Amino acid sequence: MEKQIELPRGIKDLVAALSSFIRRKRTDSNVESQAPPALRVAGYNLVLMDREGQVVWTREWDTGGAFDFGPRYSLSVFCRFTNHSKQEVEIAEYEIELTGEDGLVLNRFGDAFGDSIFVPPGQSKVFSGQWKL
Amino acid sequence: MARELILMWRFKMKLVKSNGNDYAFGLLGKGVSVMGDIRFEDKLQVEGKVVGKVASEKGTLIIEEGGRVEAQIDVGVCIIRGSLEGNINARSRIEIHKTSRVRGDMTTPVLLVEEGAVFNGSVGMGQEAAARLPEVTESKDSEERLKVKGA
Repeated sequence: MEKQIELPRGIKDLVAALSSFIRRKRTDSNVESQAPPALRVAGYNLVLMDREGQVVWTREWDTGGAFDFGPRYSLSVFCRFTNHSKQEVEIAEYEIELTGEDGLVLNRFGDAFGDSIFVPPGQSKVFSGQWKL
Repeated sequence: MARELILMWRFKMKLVKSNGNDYAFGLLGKGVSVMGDIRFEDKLQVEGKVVGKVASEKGTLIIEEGGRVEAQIDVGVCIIRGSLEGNINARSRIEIHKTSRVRGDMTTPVLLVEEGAVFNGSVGMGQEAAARLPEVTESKDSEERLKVKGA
């Protein structure tokens, strides 16, 4: 005949808390393993386009050394365009591209203006991009 | 006492610099306090305390966890894991990691912030970064291209 041992209540609670902790840990590690891998960012490009999608201006910058952009980070990039030409420049949309150490594009942020904006000669405009993996 | 500390720091700087190549790496270790202006070339790691100004044209300032800086900072890259009170101008990048406590305004083209970091201040794009753009009409720089309709 099987005899069941009745555990004291304190020990029961402890066992329940431990098993709940282990379950939570397992779930967390599953979530972590599903997280996207970090990007190794070394530079960024700004691409300005007119309303026909034609590229009107582009430039690349380096980030002062490569760094890892992982899931628990947010990244903001600000690029300034100054119109040094003698004509107004029309901009309807822009893209900021994150590039790796090999110069390849890792990720893009894009935005479009409802109506094109016009940057007069000598004027500047800052374009920004935000990322969160 | 302060003089001794500065001398110790200089000695440590020298020690770290003599690594066989031209890469100048400075370490301001735990328990060391410096008051005044600091200029460095390539890399400065702060684990102690700095009060004053920190400047470098292209160099990287790293404020390690436990490090405390109360200064105006003007550098190429600033990586923060410790505590900072003061404004930062970084020409290339600022990283604020989860152990950071930052109070001050930042100007930088690239800002990386880790969840859990505490930051109290504003972020903008500095004039230095803007000045990196050459004259388009006269530029021979292949990185930059301007196409103006009808031009």
